[in-house]
Amino acid sequence: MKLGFSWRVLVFIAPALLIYATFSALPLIDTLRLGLYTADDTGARSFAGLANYTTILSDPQWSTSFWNAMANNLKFFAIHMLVQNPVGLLLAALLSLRNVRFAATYRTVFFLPTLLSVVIIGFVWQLILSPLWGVSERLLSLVGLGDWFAPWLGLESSALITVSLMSVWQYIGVPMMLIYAALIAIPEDIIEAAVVEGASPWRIFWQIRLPLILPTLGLVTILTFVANFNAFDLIYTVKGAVAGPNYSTDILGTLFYRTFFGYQSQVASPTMGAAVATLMFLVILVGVAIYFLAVQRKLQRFAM
Amino acid sequence: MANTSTSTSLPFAPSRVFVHLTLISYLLLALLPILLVFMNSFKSRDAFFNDPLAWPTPETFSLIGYTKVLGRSDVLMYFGNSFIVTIASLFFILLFGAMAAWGLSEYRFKGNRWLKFFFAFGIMVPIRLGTVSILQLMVELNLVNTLTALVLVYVAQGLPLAIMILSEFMGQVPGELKDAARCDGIDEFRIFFQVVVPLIRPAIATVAVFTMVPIWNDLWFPLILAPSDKTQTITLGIQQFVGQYATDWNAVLASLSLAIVPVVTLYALFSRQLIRGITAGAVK
Amino acid sequence: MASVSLQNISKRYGNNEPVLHNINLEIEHGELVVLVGPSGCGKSTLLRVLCGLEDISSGELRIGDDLVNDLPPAERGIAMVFQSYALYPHMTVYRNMSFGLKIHGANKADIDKRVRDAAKVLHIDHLLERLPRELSGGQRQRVAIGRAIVREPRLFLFDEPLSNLDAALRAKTRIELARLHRDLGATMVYVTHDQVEAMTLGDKIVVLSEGHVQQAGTPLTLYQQPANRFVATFIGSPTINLLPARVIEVLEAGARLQLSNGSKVLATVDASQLQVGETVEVGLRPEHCEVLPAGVAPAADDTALDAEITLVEHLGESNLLYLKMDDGQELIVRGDGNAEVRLGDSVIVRAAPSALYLFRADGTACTRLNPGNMRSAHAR
Repeated sequence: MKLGFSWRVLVFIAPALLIYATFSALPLIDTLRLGLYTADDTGARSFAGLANYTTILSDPQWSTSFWNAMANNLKFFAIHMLVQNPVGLLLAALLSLRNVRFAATYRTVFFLPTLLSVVIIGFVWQLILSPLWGVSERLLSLVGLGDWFAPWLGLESSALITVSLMSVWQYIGVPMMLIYAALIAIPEDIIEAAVVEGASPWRIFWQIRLPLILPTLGLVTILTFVANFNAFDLIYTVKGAVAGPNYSTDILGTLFYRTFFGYQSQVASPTMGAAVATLMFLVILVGVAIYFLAVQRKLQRFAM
Repeated sequence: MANTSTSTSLPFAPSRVFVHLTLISYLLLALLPILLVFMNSFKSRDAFFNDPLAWPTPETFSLIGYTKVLGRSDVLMYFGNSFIVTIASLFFILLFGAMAAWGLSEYRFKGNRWLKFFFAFGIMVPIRLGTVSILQLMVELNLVNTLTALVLVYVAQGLPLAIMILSEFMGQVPGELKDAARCDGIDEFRIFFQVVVPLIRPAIATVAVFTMVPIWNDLWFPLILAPSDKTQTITLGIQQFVGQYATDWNAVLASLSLAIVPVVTLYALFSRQLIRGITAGAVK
Repeated sequence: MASVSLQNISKRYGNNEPVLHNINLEIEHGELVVLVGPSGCGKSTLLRVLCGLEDISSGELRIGDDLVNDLPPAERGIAMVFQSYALYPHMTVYRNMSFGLKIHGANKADIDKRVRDAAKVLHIDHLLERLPRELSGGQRQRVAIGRAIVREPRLFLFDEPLSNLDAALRAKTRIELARLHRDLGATMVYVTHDQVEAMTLGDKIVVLSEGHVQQAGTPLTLYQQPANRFVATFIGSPTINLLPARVIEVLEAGARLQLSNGSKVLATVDASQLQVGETVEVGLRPEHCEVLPAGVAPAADDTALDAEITLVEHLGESNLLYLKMDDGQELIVRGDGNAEVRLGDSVIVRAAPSALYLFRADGTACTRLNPGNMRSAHAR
């Protein structure tokens, strides 16, 4: 490394720093600031301290939507953790076995949905699940489950789960790839040593492979968390900004959008929108902080 | 559940049947929706209502969906916009990102650590949360409804991760190479552009892939910063089109297929590099 | 401890050429057998076949009296020490060593005793709560050995265990392994590419090349009576000198040969199969010759070759002299470290008839009739 600060260093770093600061870091800080203001009907802004936050969190007009969105977002995250990551783990584990024919083809195809735009995914699944077109009904009756079919997307009780599963279907490629990379990085001779000692494939998975990919599983969890609490595109595509039926698919991202831009009966409010954004930021920050603390303490990458 | 094997002999592997059954099931699950849409976009309206699972036959084959889409919307222009925005963003992310990565990893100076932390923060915290202020900024700069606004935002969004990945790889360039070049009196900029950059090509490819996809597929910023008809990206365009023509199934299916084709084609061509890049860079 | 019997073991991958051809080997109870050979000779494959990590294409493998061809490694009663140690990175030394025992359902007290006893023998008892990444290379290797010992297997397998250690540690560890073998009385199969390790550790050495056993025997046998040219050149450092020659006379207890530069030499070997005029190679180990100043007349039957010194390497206790004969043939001789020799000196290289080796054109060796390490000066 070269010592010293010269004008050259400035030239190297300046463009990135400038753009990043102007369009990413500062707007974020500004949003945090804006959340502390309120605007009256003329649009004039005045400092309001934490008033916006108290409103969102406790004023029934706002708080019901907020806590509803929060609860939904948590459910959204839970479904991803329960479905996306275990299935991703299963697929990665199967693909990392030796001598699986066509493994490369499987890998390629599994990753395909992740590359498609969420808009496409949203519409494709909407079509398939649509009671009007009847494809899913037909497919289900092929396996004898025809009675199961219901317009899941339209029912308040099932809409959120359905949308969550759509999101899982799309994104499963990412945890799958990350876990796959971690699994193939485990030196083969460690596995062989375990085999020689008499470990069954089951035991090898749980006591050798899994502990060694724990850091990656942690990474996958935090990435899922951040992505889920930032999610918007899919719900917007499938259900619009109003996130029906009856706000059952409303998550923090859609709440933010509505609050900021206004929608139908709700008046646009940049300040309230900023407050919602700040709350989202805090939620994500808490999650990230927990992750880093856990990483520092327990999950350490072992020198292999 | 997930059993794992180590050698070629069968006693250690879970049943081959189980493995392939699971993988094939998921393969179908992953492909079927896309295939269905694609297949049916080539059928006439009655045909796909009646028998959605059938391939298009000479009787049922119809391009009516496509003619509607191409006729009623500026699909080509949307593609063009997406293309411009993605390529331009990618270019600047790679250029400024590499330069910053170099500046941060190669030179020791006060505040180096803080700057690194500053950038790293951007990886975890989504840029969307600052949208309120970003929009205000764009309004003040008169950049609303321009592709430039999108490029600026995407570059800001992509820089942190690019800088992190690129500096990792730059750290692996042997010190002797750089020192030898300095001994020869070559100036820092030359060293950067002509020695270091060519050596980290795999990293650049990885970053390109990681960055390109989210930009191309993004809905949020085109929706908020550049929703005018002239500046719509393909993602936004499709979203609006389908929203508008919701019951015109032919058009909807055709437009979705049009949106899928370029991505799938590129992917088919570059999948090996892409996956190699992800599995190599991801573990870091 | 058990004996091991390999009968006609062959291994091939798919339809490719076999990597092991008809290996036949008997290993006695308590023996330390070293498999040695250049890279790619099949020694590691053979070890893995013994272990059960690779299957056998044909032939029978017996450990003790049991036919183990189709048994998985865990049921063969073996333990293996891997080249890179293969310690479980996320487990403490204690857990690494007790892992195998736990799988077999041993009770806690028993496990604890075995682990601690083994740790004491290997001087790692103070490291039991550490993780592998906190240990040095030598310490990790001991843990790997400890892991094998606690299982009290019938057969120990070692895959180049010393190759990842630095030279000083390697020599030290070699002695410890020899001591361990003596103390445990265990049957061990040890793979290495280093012939010094092979010679010092093995009760029996098996030299392999390209999937075939070239020779199996005690270190001394391989040194004094190599079965063929390959074994002769593999064992012994520096490598044996090989001089092309022609048989000019077949005697009752020897053969007379003419070298390419015209000199005639006598070799005390079993010449019964040789034909006059046959092309052969005369072998002469650097440590079996001596260098005399030019002009000194050697004894009648001794080999005497005129040569010039082209390079001297001083090792302290000995010198390595690189010489060239008048027809360009090169030789190496190990000489006394105190001798005064200079570059360019013309000398006579002298060796007794019993010191010579003889190899026929197909590489097979003629049995030496009076072998035994000798410094030519004393063997009259």
